[in-house]
Amino acid sequence: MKRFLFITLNLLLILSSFSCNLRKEETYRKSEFLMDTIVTITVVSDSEKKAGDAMDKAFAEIKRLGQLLNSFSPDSEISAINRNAGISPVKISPDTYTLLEKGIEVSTETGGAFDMTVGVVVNLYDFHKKTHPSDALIREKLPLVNFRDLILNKDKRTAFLKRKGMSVDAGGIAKGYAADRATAVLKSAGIKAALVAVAGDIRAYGLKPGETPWRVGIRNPRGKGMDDIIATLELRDMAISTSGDYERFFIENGKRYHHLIDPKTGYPAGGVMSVTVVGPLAVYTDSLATALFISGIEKGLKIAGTLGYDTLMIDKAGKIHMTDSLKNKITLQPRIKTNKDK
Amino acid sequence: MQSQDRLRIAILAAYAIGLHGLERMIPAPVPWLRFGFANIITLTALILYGLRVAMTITLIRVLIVSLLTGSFLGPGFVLSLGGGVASTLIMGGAYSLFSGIFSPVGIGLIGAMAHNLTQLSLAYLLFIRRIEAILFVAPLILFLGIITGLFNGMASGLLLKKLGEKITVTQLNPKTKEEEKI
Amino acid sequence: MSLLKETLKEITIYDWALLVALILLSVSGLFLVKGLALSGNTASIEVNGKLLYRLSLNEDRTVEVHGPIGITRVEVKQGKIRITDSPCPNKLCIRQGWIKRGAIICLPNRVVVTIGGDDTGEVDAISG
Repeated sequence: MKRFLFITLNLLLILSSFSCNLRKEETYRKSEFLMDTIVTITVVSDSEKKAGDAMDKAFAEIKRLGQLLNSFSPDSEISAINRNAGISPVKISPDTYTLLEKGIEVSTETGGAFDMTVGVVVNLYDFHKKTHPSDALIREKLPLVNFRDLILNKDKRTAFLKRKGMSVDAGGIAKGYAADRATAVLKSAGIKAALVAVAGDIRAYGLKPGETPWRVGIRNPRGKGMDDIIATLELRDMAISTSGDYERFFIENGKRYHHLIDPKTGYPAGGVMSVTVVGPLAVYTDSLATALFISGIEKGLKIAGTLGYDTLMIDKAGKIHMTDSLKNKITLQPRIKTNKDK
Repeated sequence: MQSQDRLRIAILAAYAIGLHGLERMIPAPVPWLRFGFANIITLTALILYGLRVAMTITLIRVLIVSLLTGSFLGPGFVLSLGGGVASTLIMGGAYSLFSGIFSPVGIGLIGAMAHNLTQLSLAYLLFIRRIEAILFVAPLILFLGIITGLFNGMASGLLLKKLGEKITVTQLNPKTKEEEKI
Repeated sequence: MSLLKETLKEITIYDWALLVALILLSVSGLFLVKGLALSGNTASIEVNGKLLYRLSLNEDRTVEVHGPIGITRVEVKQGKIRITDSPCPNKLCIRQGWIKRGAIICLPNRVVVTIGGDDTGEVDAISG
């Protein structure tokens, strides 16, 4: 009898090894219009309520940051700093301080290719009315572009723009920062896997149900439609951002005027159609994408290598340049169509 | 247990070790393909001396071979141990329940199946949690197990006859659990 | 020889039944498994149960994965995949050569290369 039991137990053990996972995990997705763009959060959870609560918290955080950091609303801290340019330092909240601090860090690392004070020249271009400033006007305003004139005081937690007329614009880094913060909120809400997309600034962690990683596509800079992508890659605890000359632009006399203005010249940076940066934090992928775009292919690849970030850059001819460590992670879609234009 | 039997058991264990070790040294063209010739000894010992002795020999064999080949506590060791213990147990059970129905050939078949199934399960649970990969490879392994089981069973039957010719053996009659001379 | 004959005579009808049943089972299992979706144009590489890469078989490339005993090198070429290098003692995984279906396993280094589903180009989000 004992022997029989022993054998039966053995058999049961073997059979049970083929049983499947009981708890059902699903993905939940929600979008909201925040920070002047569409923010989509996808979470993996075994409970709809838990997913909903976490997403609400994450959206609330992004909303809060949007209110602090946007340049348009007069209540934002950024606006306060700009109003007091050349006048006095402004006390800011820890998030704003951290954001500006990181922005300056990237500016320093990229030799000024990323510069939050470039807004004063970018605003000379009107992408709706399709107008661009005269060379004289650019020359006049260019001295006001200098990240070194943005002074931060850590003890007092203040920010000060030294010269009157200067303005700081967090647009090139705030979305990435928001994606990182939203991720932190989701993690502390107990979500094991999620993808946060603040427009094109994306941060993903964990695995989808079925142990599959998040897959992200890179937009075809000259593609037709929102789904035209030139490459896909898996995002494992990583962030990705893309800056392109197709986001805000107009074409005049065959020449493309886009919003990625070189802080040193005041003109749209040339030579590149789009730059994608992949790395651990979205705040850096966001700002670096802009910086590398401005820096051009050769310098951009070098900077990425030095900082330990991966990048995929598409030049004006449609040719793709990548950092070595990215080559094995990217799946290029077979059809890479680009229209040749300036 | 008589000292003669003890000696015999020790020799059987030695043969088991020898068979297992030798088999391991054969370069296999296909991975995981091990006939398990040592099970001839296990089955023979089982029929001659009963489950406890057979299990002891199995454990000794797996332990010593793994120590000698330096694979102690490695994946090969775990699979050997699991497969060996499971097949010994199940052969023991099958023998005590079905010794009238199956000859050593049948018992050997059952043992080989148990051995391979256990190894597949263990490989899945502990090492490769990809059920598709395991299932893909399973039919082939089980088929080879059939061949092994057949061969082992026949070899064991032969061996038993050979041994029975030469010596007197005390064996536990599986039905009555009484010792009787054969 | 007579010993062999004796042994053969001992084989019972149930032995035969068992044998036939097992053969049928494993053969049918073989057919079942042929239908199993271990084919496709992507391959996944897992180490210790953790999915490290899912590569398209359309892109020729070589990747390295780190397992408990060393580095295993995997190569994709012309729609096929193989293990070119591995620190295991028997190198059985390397001897399997190129595969287009199924799987290659390097047990000592806990590496599993599995052919998987098709890459539909579907993504969870788009950057850009």
